[in-house]
Amino acid sequence: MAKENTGVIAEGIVVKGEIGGTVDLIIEGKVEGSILMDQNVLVGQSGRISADVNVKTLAVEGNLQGTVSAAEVIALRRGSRTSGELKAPRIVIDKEAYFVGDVEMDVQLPDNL
Amino acid sequence: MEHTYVGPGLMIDGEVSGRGDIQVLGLVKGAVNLQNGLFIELGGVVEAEVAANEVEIKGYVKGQINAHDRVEMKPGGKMIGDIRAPRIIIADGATIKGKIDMDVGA
Repeated sequence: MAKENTGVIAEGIVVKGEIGGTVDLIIEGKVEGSILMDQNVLVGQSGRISADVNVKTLAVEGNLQGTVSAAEVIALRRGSRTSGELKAPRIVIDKEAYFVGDVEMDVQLPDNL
Repeated sequence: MEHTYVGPGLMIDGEVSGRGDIQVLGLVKGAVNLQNGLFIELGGVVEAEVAANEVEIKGYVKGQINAHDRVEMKPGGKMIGDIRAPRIIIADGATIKGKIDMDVGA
């Protein structure tokens, strides 16, 4: 699974601090702090994140608490639990994904409303 | 079990702890506290206080290493700092500047 351009934080590992970089990242462990990546981040089923997240795309299958800003898309997958603020051009919340918090997308309502 | 992989282009600055091996081809700064092995590959850089069961160095390390079992410096591995471990191996072609202490009563 660990490919050349992918980082993995495995289950059982705890990172407190800053994670940054230019590759895709899969998180199955615990991260507290901040994640600043210009690529895709996946929080796997066992992933537990409490962080400010700034990425290209974020998919959550595990638990996440924090402020998330994505350049493209945030997807909360089935079985995930998320709380905090989400900001992205596209935000997807799947069936059976649990979310509490704020969502901010660019919304253009028709003028006559 | 899948291990933690800090690939090239990935940077962790802070405290990393837990169980499971960590393979580093990117950059790890701060502190590492592991029950298993830390493998610093060619191109990998660790600037940290390291405590682990086993440490293998093919890349660069700046900091202290405290290993429960062993530290192995491979050819091309470079280190500035002190090593404490019951078993320490330095291969021909590895370079280190620092104290070595094997008297830790494993």
